[in-house]
Amino acid sequence: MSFFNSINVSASGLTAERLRMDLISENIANANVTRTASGTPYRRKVAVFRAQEGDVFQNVLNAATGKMETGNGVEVAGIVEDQSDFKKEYNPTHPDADSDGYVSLPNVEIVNEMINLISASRAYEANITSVNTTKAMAMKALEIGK
Amino acid sequence: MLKKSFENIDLMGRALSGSWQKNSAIANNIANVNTPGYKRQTLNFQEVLRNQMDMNDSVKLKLTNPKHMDPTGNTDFSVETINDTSYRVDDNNVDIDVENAEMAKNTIYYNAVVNQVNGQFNRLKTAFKINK
Repeated sequence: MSFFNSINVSASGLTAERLRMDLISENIANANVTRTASGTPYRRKVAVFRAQEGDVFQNVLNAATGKMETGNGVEVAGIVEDQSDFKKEYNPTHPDADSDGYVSLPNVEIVNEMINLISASRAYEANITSVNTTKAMAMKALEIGK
Repeated sequence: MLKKSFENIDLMGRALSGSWQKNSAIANNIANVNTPGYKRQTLNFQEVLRNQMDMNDSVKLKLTNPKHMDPTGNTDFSVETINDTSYRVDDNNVDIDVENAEMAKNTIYYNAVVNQVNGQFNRLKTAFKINK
């Protein structure tokens, strides 16, 4: 565990939450997109978070010595597409309407996205607070013996 | 007398290192606030430290065999994962308010110990000046 471990951990949280916010923006921007390269309407994208593991050597060593270290932060395990059904809207004049006159719209719910955006933004702030606290502690440690 | 006062600083050094490690655990909890299935980590350092302080004051029991039980209990800081609670449906048990409060408490504790270390050094410095 290095001296700056805490800051690295918080930085990993910042990175993950920012990526989540990027995806939410993308979902909102594409909320009405009926055409993508794959031919379907846009599918909502979600980031999957996972607690970051230490390196393999450290894990084996800790398991052998029965010692546990504090974690290494968070990482994005992947970006997955929400496979839920598309919304249907009756609009026969739309160029992407099917033979019955229904248009498939992306499975993006603006309200959900906004809630997730707030959650991501608050988590981001919490990580910022955490960095600042760690910084304050490190600066305080430099005062020893002055 | 000098030995005793440095012992005190040593003890406070351990407190600082425990507190720093606790800060790391809290930072990790906050970073993983949105990770499904994550369980929060804590550090048991304050109990360990209390045991150490008790040991400084009282008569120490001598261990003549490595299999003897340590009368002060665990003397190493250890990270514990709280596995048996869930705060949300995604099995995560990090409560961001609790973590923030813990972090604030930990910082104040850290600052207080740093001030004590400084105070101890200043007292020593003052004592060295007596005959000048």
